[in-house]
Amino acid sequence: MHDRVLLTPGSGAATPPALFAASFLVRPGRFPEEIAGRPCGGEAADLLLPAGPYRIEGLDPAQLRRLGGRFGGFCVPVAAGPTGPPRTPDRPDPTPAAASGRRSPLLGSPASPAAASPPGADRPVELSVFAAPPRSFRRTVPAGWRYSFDLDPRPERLRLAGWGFCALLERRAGGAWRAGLWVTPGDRRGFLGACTNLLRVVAAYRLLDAGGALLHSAAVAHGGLRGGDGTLFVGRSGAGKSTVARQARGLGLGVLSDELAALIPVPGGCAVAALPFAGDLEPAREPVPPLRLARVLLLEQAGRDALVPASRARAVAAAAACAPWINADPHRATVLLDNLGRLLAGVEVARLEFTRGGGFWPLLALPEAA
Amino acid sequence: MTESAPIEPAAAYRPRSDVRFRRIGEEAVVVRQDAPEVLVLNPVGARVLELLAGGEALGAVGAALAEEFEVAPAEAEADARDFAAELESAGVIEPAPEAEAEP
Repeated sequence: MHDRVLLTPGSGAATPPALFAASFLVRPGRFPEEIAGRPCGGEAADLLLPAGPYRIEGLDPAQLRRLGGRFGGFCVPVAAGPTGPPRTPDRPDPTPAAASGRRSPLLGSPASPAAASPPGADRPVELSVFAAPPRSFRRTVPAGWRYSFDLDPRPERLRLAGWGFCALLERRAGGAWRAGLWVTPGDRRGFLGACTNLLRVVAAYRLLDAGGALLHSAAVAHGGLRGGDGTLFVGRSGAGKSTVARQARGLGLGVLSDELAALIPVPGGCAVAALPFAGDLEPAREPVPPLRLARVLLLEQAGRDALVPASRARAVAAAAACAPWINADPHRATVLLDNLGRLLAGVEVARLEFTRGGGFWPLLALPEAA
Repeated sequence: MTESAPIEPAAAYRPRSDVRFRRIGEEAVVVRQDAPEVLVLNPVGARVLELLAGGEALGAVGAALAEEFEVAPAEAEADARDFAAELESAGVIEPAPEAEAEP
């Protein structure tokens, strides 16, 4: 009567409240109650991620340089302040809507009532970086510890705690997200890890609000990275996403992602967008317009290469299992299922049984990249 | 299949507190957050879960299955019992607390 799909282990399961932050903070009971503190500096940047932008304020110059080095063309320095200057002309919004003068389809389009943006979706996510004393964070690593962080999801706020950082996210009245990140100012390497982890989580929640989803998946373009169609390979850690992405690149196909990709609703269907978070491959350095999602393949390593039809429910289940943090959030898991049901409604779905040798590619009939 | 204790028609079940589910087409997708795992239920299983979550007792679930899937009532009741047992075994549902007696 039922099939099982295992959730990705360690993909951000909610931490029991009694244990929250105990591994990372010296005094977990003194977790910040509100988003306020002493900024690390006066610099700010916009990150042009799907369902963004994400404005990061309170950076010191070294933090800003590290962000720019890590996120490349996704990161646009702006003057600090609540509104900031207009977007830099030579760094446009990566969405095709911006290029055509329309509103971003990442946030829904007025031409498509079904994809109407939720309240607050047109506001940037505001993320403030605050200085925390070094003694706030534990410096010893438990035996057998594997990098992860604690997450405590509530209906209107989330708390995160990890190695050398803690963060608080709040969904304000009107739907806009605001986040605070506390780090030790001199901990340059730790800052980048903390910021990247926080951004992954914020992106997952922001995309959910926009009717989309963040998925562990490899995204490949057939027909070119600009104007082509996207194929999404969905699978848990170790399922073969990086292998598929590496082989696709070797075949001359465009690769949007080998680890995390954003699904976003667009009029008439679903699009897939790159994020600057990668697994084994080099992460994307420049934003590219989202691609129409044409096909979702559920990865399953096997002793043969075959495409097997799969139901939409099976695809939704596999995708939900690969939606980090949200699938473990008791307040939002049903929204995730609703979003995935809509996003995958018009998309071809199949299970890809594959051998690691790459013999499956002819089955996909992907034309070479333009 | 192992022999299980008989389930009374008046028995009521509810989704466990960590379970979230949605109908997708005729099937259902169930997220068990404590497990953690995701299940796909076939159309009958999806309908059984939907009815139980709506507060229907097992007898009413069997009657609904008989009507909607056009099978004999006895067969539908047996299916409802089997599916409920399977869902309970899979950690999707649990017995609902008995309703308080009318004053």
